[in-house]
Amino acid sequence: MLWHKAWVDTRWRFLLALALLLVLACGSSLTFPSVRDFVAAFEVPAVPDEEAAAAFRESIELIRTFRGYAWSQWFAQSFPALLTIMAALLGSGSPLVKGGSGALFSLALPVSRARWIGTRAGTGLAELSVLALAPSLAFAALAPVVGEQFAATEAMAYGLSAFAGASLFLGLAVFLSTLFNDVWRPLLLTCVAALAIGMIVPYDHGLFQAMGGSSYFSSGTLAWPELLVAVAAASGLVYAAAARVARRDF
Amino acid sequence: MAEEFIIETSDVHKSYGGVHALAGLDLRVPRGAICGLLGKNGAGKTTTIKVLLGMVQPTSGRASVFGLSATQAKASLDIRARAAFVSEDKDLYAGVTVGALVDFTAAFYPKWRADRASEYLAAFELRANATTRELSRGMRTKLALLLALSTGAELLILDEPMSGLDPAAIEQVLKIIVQQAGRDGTTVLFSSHQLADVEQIADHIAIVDRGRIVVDGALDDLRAAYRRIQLVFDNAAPDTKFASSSVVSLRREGRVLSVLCRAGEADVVAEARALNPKGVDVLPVTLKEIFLETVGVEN
Repeated sequence: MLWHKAWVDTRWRFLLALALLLVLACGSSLTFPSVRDFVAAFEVPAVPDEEAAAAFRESIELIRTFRGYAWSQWFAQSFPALLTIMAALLGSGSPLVKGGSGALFSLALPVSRARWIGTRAGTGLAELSVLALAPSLAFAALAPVVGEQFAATEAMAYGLSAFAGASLFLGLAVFLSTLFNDVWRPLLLTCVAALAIGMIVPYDHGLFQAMGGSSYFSSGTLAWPELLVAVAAASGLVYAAAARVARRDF
Repeated sequence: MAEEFIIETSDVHKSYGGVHALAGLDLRVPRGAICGLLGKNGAGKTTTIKVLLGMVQPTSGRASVFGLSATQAKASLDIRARAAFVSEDKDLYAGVTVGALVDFTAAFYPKWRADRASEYLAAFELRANATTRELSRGMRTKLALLLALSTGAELLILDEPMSGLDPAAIEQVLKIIVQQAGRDGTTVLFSSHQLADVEQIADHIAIVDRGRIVVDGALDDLRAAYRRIQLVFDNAAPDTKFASSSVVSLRREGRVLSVLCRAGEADVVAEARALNPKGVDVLPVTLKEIFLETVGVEN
């Protein structure tokens, strides 16, 4: 029943997020032929900065194949950013908010506070995993439609990378929701924290690069250290949230 | 046989910043009692209830329900499995149907009484497909009561259960509380500002003022323990003091001097007669008088 309540509380956010990600992922997949044709006729202009020209040529080359296009345009760019926002959205808003709807009713039930927080975080993680995997698999499913192939295992690898990284932001939102009695401040602060991480941590070693599956694209291995640190930090934040709620007066 | 207390608190203190919500609360509620918890706004009634249900951790002191410590998380879970609560705000989940909320709540109580839930749904004229947003405050109160009464709990803790109800609904709820206590032996602790309602159903009274219990006992004993002695004079009542330690309070209103005293009032009556009043009447007291005088005196 707690799982059901957590689902009812978050289902509209989840369903809207899923619809948005699926539309964007499918749209991105289906526009590949147009992009490929455009790039085929595209000449890289001569620029004085050789390094910039090389990077530009590399980008163009990536887009010529469906695998390169999917990774560079979706999995490495839009997807980690969008999933971070979705994770913040799913984690924001504690079921035990002082003065919130039904908080005293919940607290009077024979259910521990840790279980309330754990169930909410668990539901958020389950929803986040669907948000991570469904759009990824949509690429694999739609590849034949545009006359290409894209392995489901590769799509899963990108999806799991994004999920593991985004779990950190879900954990942060869950924790921040025990500090504030509204949904918006945890959401906003989590997004600000994500922005700060993106700006401070060097891109080639950063969380967002790991979420984008860069190492999997180039070498076929996941960025395990970064992803495991993210998952461990997420677990720590959920634990801290449960500990904080356990001590709180309502 | 010694009286068994379902609720026992000893020297419970709770401070919020510098504000003392509870200042040495000692409360004892016997098994099977219908106990009215009375007090002015901010006296500490709701904080007392929240301490008993583990929603608030006391700063110091001991609080137990069913002999289990209300301040320990595991024991608090066991307490909440055996006690049902209705909050002052009738705080329920928004936008959920009555039927869904009944099913949700039932899942947490092994002794859930589906028959009672159906009985109260009909008695309170609650539609199972109505959402909580559609319910008036009075209907939300009835739904909250339905959920509490159907849990099969041994203890009902009701914070202002009659607030938001019309007189007919109050009468219905009072009747149901008494019925529940009578047929299941459920202990009831309820806070209220409505002294007449409390007097109608409570057999035990606890008056809390500034975080302390100032009166605690069986209602009949309390009534028997106090008397009002009314003295009427020809002219303005004298501004006097009584030597007897039985006197709780004095009030002068024109030609009338009203004395609230503890039972065994013979010495007070003797002192009163020495003032040469036109008349001396010894009257029984109401709960309202006890409440107003004790809270007023303590202040």
